[in-house]
Amino acid sequence: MKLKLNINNKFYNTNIDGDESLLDILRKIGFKSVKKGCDTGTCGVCSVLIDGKPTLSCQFLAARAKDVKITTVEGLGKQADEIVDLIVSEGADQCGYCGPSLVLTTYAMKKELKNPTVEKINHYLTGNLCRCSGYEGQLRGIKKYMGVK
Amino acid sequence: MRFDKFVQPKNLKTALEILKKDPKSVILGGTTFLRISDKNYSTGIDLSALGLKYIKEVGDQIEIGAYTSLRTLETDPIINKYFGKLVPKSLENLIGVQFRNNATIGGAIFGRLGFTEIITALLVLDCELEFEENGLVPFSEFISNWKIKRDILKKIIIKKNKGKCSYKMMRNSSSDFTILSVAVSNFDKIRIAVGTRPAIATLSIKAAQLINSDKNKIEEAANLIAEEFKFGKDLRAEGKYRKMIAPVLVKRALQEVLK
Amino acid sequence: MMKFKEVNHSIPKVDGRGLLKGASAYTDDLAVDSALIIKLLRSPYAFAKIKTIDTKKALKIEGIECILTYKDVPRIPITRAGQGYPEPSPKDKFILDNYVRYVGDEVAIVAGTTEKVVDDAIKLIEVDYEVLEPVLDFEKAEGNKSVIHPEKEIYSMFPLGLDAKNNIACSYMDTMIVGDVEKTLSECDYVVSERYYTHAQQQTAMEPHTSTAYIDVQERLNIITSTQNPYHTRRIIGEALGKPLRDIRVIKPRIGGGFGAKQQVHNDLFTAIVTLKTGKPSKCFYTRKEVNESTFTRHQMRIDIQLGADKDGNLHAFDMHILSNTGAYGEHSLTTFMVAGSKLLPMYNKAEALRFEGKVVYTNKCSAGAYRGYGAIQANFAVESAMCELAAKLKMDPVELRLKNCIGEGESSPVFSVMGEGGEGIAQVMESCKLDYCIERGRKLIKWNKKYPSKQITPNKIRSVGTAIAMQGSGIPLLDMGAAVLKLNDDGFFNLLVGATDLGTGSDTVLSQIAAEAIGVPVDRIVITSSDTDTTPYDVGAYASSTTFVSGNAARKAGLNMRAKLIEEAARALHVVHKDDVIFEDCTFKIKDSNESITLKELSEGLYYKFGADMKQLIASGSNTSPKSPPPFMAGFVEIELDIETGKIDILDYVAVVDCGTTINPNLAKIQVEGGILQGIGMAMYEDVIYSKDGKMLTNNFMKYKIPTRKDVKKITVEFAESYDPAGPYGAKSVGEIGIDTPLAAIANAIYNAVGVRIRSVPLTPEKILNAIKNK
Repeated sequence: MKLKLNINNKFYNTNIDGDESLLDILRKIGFKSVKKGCDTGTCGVCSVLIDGKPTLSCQFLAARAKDVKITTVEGLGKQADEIVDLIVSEGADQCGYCGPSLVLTTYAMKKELKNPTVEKINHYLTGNLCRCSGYEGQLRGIKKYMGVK
Repeated sequence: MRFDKFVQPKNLKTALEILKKDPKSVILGGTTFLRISDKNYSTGIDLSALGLKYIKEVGDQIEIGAYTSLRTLETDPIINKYFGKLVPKSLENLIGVQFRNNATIGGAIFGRLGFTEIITALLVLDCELEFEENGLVPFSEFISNWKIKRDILKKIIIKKNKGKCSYKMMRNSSSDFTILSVAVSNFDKIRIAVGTRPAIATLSIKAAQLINSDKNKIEEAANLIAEEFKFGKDLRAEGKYRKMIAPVLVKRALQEVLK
Repeated sequence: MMKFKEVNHSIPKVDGRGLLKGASAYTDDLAVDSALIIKLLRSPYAFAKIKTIDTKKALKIEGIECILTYKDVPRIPITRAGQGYPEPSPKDKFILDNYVRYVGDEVAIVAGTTEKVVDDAIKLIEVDYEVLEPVLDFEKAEGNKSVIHPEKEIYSMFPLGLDAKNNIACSYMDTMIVGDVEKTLSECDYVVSERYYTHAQQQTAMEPHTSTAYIDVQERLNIITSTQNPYHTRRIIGEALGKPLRDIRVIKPRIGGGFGAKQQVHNDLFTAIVTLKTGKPSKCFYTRKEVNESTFTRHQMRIDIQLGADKDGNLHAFDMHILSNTGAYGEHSLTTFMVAGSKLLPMYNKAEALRFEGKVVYTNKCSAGAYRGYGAIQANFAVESAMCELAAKLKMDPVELRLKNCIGEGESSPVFSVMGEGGEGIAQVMESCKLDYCIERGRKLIKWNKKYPSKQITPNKIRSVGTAIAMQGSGIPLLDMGAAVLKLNDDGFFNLLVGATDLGTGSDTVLSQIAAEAIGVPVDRIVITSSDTDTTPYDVGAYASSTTFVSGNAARKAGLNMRAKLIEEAARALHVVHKDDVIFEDCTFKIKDSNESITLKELSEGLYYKFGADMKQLIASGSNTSPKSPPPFMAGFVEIELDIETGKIDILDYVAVVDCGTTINPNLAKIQVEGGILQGIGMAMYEDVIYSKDGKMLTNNFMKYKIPTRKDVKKITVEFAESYDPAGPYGAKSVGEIGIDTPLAAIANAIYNAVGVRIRSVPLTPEKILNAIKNK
C-alpha cells in the first residue's frame, strides 16, 4: 500500500506492506539513526517520537503512521546538541548504538516530566537499555540536562 | 506476526463482521506481543481511528477506551486520583515508556496472559468490560473463562469505589515480568487477587473470607493464601518459591489497606 | 604524579557526537540496498544427523538466489575463535556439517531478495533428521556414549589435550603444580574445601552480529563486519573457503558493543560464501534470538577449591580444579580455562603450594566463547567466596585476610612462568601494584568498619557489606601484537591508522591521545582510522585487555618516530646542523638560542609542495609486542539490603577502587569500570541462560534474558589509585575487563554477612537466597 509519512516535518511517499514495522520503513527510507536491537520490543534502540512521545518503531505498524508526526534524532537538529554534548563529555556515548534513541527519549522526557528527580529519570529511561556504560555516566550527563542535582 | 491485508473499518460493526467472517483475521491492539508471535494472519483489523482512546469520568464510573495506551493510563490524572495509584503501579514496570506508549489496555486485557499485572489490579476493583457483540461482561468473568474469543473489546468501566488499595509484586530485576503479583482492595469488603502464579490472576475466596470476618487475622489470612492457590514454575521461579512469598506479599498488602 | 599534555585528560570520544546524532556507521547502515538477505535454517534438535535434505521446493520461490547445504560448502575444519595463530582452540567446525550439535546450529544458508521470501523458503526446505541422544549435562559429558564430534577431520594445531571421542575439547593436568599441595594442606590449621558453580552468560551487545559482503573492482571479496578482530577474521575466512588472503578484505566499521561476543567469526562465513557463489552483495543481520541461541555464551564452570592457612591467616596452599563447558564447539575452550588459574593464583602469591588443573568438555548446547573477563570472573567467584569462608573459619575480618595475603609491588608469582594463555607463560614482576591501597581505600569509601558485617534496618530488612578483589592482565605477552601508522598531511595534521578495534570502548580516542602525546601536538591534529585489513596495519584486535597497553605502545612508538622525522625535516628546513638544536613545541619548530622558527603547518606544506628535491611524504610506524603484561587490580565493595522474607536484594552502592596505571582518558576508564561492574552484577543476580529438558534455549530474547536496567542499581562509585607502570604507554595498564570480576563473590559474601548463608552457585536469585535462609 502507498503511504505518505511525515518524518521530521518533511513528507516522504513510500510503498509498504500492511504488516511492515515503522522501523523497517524508516531504515529503508534512509533514517539509519533508528536501530534494530531485538525482536521483542525490549531494548529501546528503535525508539522514535510519535507525536512527541517515545515509541518503539519496531512495534508501531507503518500503516498506522499516516496521520502522525514522526521525529528521529536527525529531526532534532540543534536541539539534540545539548543532550549529545552532555553525554559525550562524560564519555558515556560508548558504542553509540543505543545513543540516538537515548537522545530522543531524553528530549521527550524533558518536555514531559514536571519535577524531574533521579528516580523519575531512571524510570523514564528504563526502556533504553545500554550494555556498555553501566548507566552512571549517562545519568551524570542527563541530570545536567534535566537540571537535577 | 505477518498478515496479508491491513484494513481500517469505518465502524465497529463492520470490524466485527470481518472478525466473525474470517477466522484468520485479528484485531490489532498495540501490536506489541502480537508482533512477537510468528503467526500468519489473513487480515489485520485496525481500530485506531474509531475513537477508542479516552479516559473519562462518567457519574460514579471511570470509562477507559480499549485503545488507550498503558502509558496514558499510568500517567492520567483521573487514574492517579483513585485506588491509591493501584493501576499505575501495576503498569509502570512493564519494559519501558516507549513500550507502554504503544501497548493498549484492550490488548493487555484481551490477551489474558498470565504475567499481565494490570489484570491482577483490575480484579480487586469493580470492573466491567464492554464488548461490541457480548455487551457488558464482568471483568472477573472474562478473565476466568475463555468463552469470549472473537469479539471486540470497546471499553473498560471501573466503579469509583472509595477505600484503600495496595499492590505488591516480586520480580528478579526491575523490568522483568513478575514472579508474583498481589492486589488488595478494601472498599465495602476486602478483596485479594494473586497473579503470575504463573497462571493468570484470580480472586481469593478463603483468605478473603477470613480477613473480612476478622480484620485482625492478617497473618492467618495471608498464610491461607499458600493453601488456597496452586503455584507453578516458569523461567523465573519454582512454584515452591511463589508459595513461600505469596503470604508475605499478601500480608504486607493487607497491612497497608488496614492501616 | 607525572603531568601530561594529552594523555590523562578526559576528552570526548572522537566519534561520540557523530554516533549520538545518528550517523550511518554500523555494518547494517553501510550495506547496499541491493544486498541479498541471508538467513539460516537452524536445527530444532540438540543433536542429530541430517539423513536427507531437499531444497528443490524452496528454490522455486521467486527471489531466492541461493540455498547452500553441507553438500555445497568446502569441508575444511576451522575454529571460529579470533585468537593468535596457530589457534589454541580445536578445529572442530565446518561452515555447514551433516551433524547438528545444538538447537540453533546451522543447517542451510538461504539467500534471497527480501526477508519475507527467505523466511518462506526456509519453511519449504525438507530435512530428515536422525535424532541422536544429546549430552546436556556437562558433568556427564566425559566418556558419554553420545560422541558429539565423531568426525575424523577434527584436529588441533596446539597440544590441547583434545580427546573428541570422550567429548573432551581440552584438558590441562599435572602441569601447573608448585610445591606439595596435599602435604601442605594436611599441615594447615584451617582448610576450606568447597565446590562452586558459575552459569553461562550472554554478552548482549546492543548491535546484533552483522556482516555484509561484496566483490570489488579487483574481483576481491570485501566483508564489512561487526568484529573485534578483523585480521583474525580475514585469516579464518581464507582458511574456511580455501582462498588466499590477498583476495579478501575485512573492514571493521563502528561496532555496537562486543564484550567478546564478536571475538569469533559468525555470519561472515555465510555472507562470504553467498557473495562468492552469486557474485552479488549479501548481508546477514542476526535476530536477537539468533544472537542468544546461536552465537556464543560465557563458559559454564564447576570449580573445586581448596585453601589452606595457618591460624594467623597466612595462606599456604591454593588448589583449584575446574570442569568447563564449551558447548557444541571448542572456541576459546583452553584459554578461558587457563585464565581462571592465571588471573587468580598469582593474586595470592604468598601460598607456597599451588595446583591448577581441569578439563573442558563438549555438550550439545550453544557454543561457549569469549566474554569479558573470561575464566577470571568464574574463578573469582569461587576463590573470593572461598577466601571469605576461610576468614569466617579464622574469625578474621575478610579484608584483613586479603591484605595479609595479596600480591604487592615488586613481587612475583611462579604461576606467571608456568602458565600463560594456552601454554607456558612468561615470568612477571609487579612493577606497579597498588592493590593494598585499593583495598584500604575501598574499605573507607564503603564505610566497612561501621557496616561490617550487617545491620538490621527494619524487622524484615538487613543491610550488609561484602568484598572481593581481582587482577587481570594487559594483553597476552609475546602473543599479542599491534601496529600503528602515522601520516603527515599538509595543514599539519596526521592520519593515525590502526588495526586496533574500537568497539565503542573509546580506543580510537585513547590511541589518538597517546599518539598526540608522543608527537607533541594537540590531539585535534590526529584523525584516526580503524580498522581495515587493506589500509590499516595489523593488530590482534580488541580482546584480553590488550588495546591500551599493546596497541597503545604501538601508537606511542609511531608517534615518537614521527616526532623524530619531523625534527629532522625541520632541521633541514631551518638549516640547522644538529637536530638537538631544534625545539618542537606549540606546533612550532624553533632553533635553540635563535628567533628562527617554522610552524608545523609551514613544514607540512613545504614537504608537500615547496621543498623541491626535499619534498616527501612523512610516514612513521610503530609496532609493539611485549614480554610484559602488567596486571590491573581492583578491590570491589558492595552494600546490599536484603529482604529476609522474600530473599530480594537491592544493591545500594558498589565501590570500586582500581589500579590500572595512568588513566589515558579518565572518563573513559571510569565508564569501562562502571559498565563492567554492571555486567558483573547482572551475572551475579539474575542473568541466566536456561535450557529446556531437550536442550532448547528458553532465554532467547530480552524478555526472558534480563540484563540490568538503570533502575537496578542505586549507585556505583569508582576511583582510581595513583599508579604508573613503566611498561605501559605513559604508565597505563589495561582497564577493559577488570571491572567485571568482583560482583559475584562480593554480593555472595554480602549475603553471607547479612544472614549467614553461603550460596555457592550464581545467579544469586531471591529464590535461592530465601531457600537458603529457610534451610539454614
